[in-house]
Amino acid sequence: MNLRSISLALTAFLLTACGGSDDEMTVTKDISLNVSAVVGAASVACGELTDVLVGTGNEGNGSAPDIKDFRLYVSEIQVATDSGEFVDLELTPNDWQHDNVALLDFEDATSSCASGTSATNTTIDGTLEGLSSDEYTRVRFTIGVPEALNHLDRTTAVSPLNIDGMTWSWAGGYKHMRLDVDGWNIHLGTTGCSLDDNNDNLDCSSARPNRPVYTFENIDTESSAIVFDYAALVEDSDITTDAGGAPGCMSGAADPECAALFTNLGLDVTTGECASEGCDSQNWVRFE
Amino acid sequence: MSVPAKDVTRRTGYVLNNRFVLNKPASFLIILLLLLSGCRESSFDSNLEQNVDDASLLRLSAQGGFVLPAIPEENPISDAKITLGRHLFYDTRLSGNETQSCESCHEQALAFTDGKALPQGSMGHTLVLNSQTLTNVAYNGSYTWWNPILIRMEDQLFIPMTGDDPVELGINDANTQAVLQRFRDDDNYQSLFSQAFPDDSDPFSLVNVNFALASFTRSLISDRSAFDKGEMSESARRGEALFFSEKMECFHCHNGFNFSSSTVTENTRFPERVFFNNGLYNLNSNGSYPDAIQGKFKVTNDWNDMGAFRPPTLRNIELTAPYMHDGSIATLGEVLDMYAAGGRNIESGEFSGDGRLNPFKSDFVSGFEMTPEEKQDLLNFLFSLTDNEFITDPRFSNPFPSELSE
Repeated sequence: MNLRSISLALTAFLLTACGGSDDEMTVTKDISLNVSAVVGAASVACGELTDVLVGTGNEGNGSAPDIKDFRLYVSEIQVATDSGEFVDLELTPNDWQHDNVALLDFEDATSSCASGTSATNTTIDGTLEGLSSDEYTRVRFTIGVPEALNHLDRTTAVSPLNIDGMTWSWAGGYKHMRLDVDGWNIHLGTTGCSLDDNNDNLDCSSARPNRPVYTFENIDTESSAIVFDYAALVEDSDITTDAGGAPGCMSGAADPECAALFTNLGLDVTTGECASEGCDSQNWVRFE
Repeated sequence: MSVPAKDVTRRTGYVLNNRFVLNKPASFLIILLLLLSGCRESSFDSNLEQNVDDASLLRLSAQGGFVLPAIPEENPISDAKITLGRHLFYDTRLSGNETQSCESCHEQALAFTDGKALPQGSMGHTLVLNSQTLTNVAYNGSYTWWNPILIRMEDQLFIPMTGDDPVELGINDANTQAVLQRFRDDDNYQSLFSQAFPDDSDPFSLVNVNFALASFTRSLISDRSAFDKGEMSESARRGEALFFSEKMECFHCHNGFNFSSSTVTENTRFPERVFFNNGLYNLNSNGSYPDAIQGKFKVTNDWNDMGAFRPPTLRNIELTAPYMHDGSIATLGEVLDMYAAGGRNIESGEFSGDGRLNPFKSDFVSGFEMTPEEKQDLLNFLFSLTDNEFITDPRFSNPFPSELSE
């Protein structure tokens, strides 16, 4: 199937409409957001994308990424009208969604993605409660597993928080996002957790959260979808060269390859919070 | 024979504390006094081995006098789990491509190390860190060489099992079920898994593999060395005195019954999980360590943690060459020379720099004078920590050859 097709299905069903007065009409909408992942003009697919050149490698001409993994968690998904309050999208519990966290999975374990899972997931399903039937034009979400869920015991966590490839043992949490190409890996996750005063429990209060929050406005919710564009993300990176630290960027604040990447994520590489220009200074995620 | 384990433990702990806070003869005096004073309610008997209910394979010797390690509530230890874990530990079917087992980097004869500076994973990646001994790993204050937040063995074990940077055993999302199926298809494992996890309808899970491996590695307790038995030469005793002296300062990082200051037991309430920079490198004269091996800094990004590593146990240190986190020192004699010099000066090459001047170096690595005789005494003391029973104990050995020959 063509993942590039940026169709959105934001399907709304009026399930109930009742209430004491017109002002307090209670409405439940089923919402299904489609998501796609692209590398510039091409869909993300396992194996080498020979027709696409990305980044600054090859003397500035860019290089063809050989995709090995492409998975990310999204959470805290909200929508709003032009002027209204943001309302939580309650994610429907299923194998891909738990406690309002969804795993998006664009690798199918074929070819160079052989370490992954064959199943893929390109939709977010949920419900909006207590709404009028207004059209929503703004969408906001976070990339990453929220702090409250980020340190679950992986031996007992449920899907999709029990997938070994997305756990991050050394940092005591999950990989919020894992975009690996051959020789250059992006592992975004919370770093810098320490132990509490009694040296016994994880304390991430002064960690680098590395969870970008993106807000999109003027969205035509009837005809567009969320698009993650790897080419835009690595536009200022050379994915053919390990400049130091881990090959690519594993969220190390001192890793030379993280600086440009974090800028494009809209994050401050030192604090792990949104950059001073805001997380929305990013341009690699868009609605189309 | 059965003595309430808790009781024995508590009293053993008391003796241990004294033994290291005071010196050895003094602690023996105290024991003697306690015994003579007719402490009637005491059930402590120094001739008893201790163990945990349901886990007779985890055994503490009478001579060693250790306190039991902490066993996590979520993974209670049992003989059945230890037995399953021992089989899995030695089974190459546990790696994705069936080429390696845990033993590939952790051989019993070498106190569960591999004799190499740097090991290779099952897919041929060379690791950046030296294979550590599994001697008394149940007592580690933290796991791996440098991670301050990895404090449970169950969490650490997923790294060699499923880690992807580098790949070690190479279990991943794609092959997990195939790996488990190898054991499910084996009659012997059918019985081992169901005995280890009798309440599970399907005991063949990666989590249970992890729990069994943790149980087996927890049982790898080394407490029957010449030091423990009091069978030390005069030279080794002189070396012990030097080791615990303020002149050499060794004990600051290698303290306690396990000769590592990063040690916790079931009685520990205020755990110390320490890391030290011992002056091995000083790149760019700013204290940097080589990129891939910057120690605790890798996790905290705090320059004060640059080059800080967990002090390993010195038990069986004679068997675990080469030394240091990157295997960059070949012999124990050279290690002592390095500490006598207060660090290592690398005069040329990509890692050149005077580690003795590393600004993040521990204050205790300040160098000392050491005569050839003192060096030999120190070596003999370290050799007295070698536990030959540990490296030949059939409880810890490869279970497969004998079974095949039956």
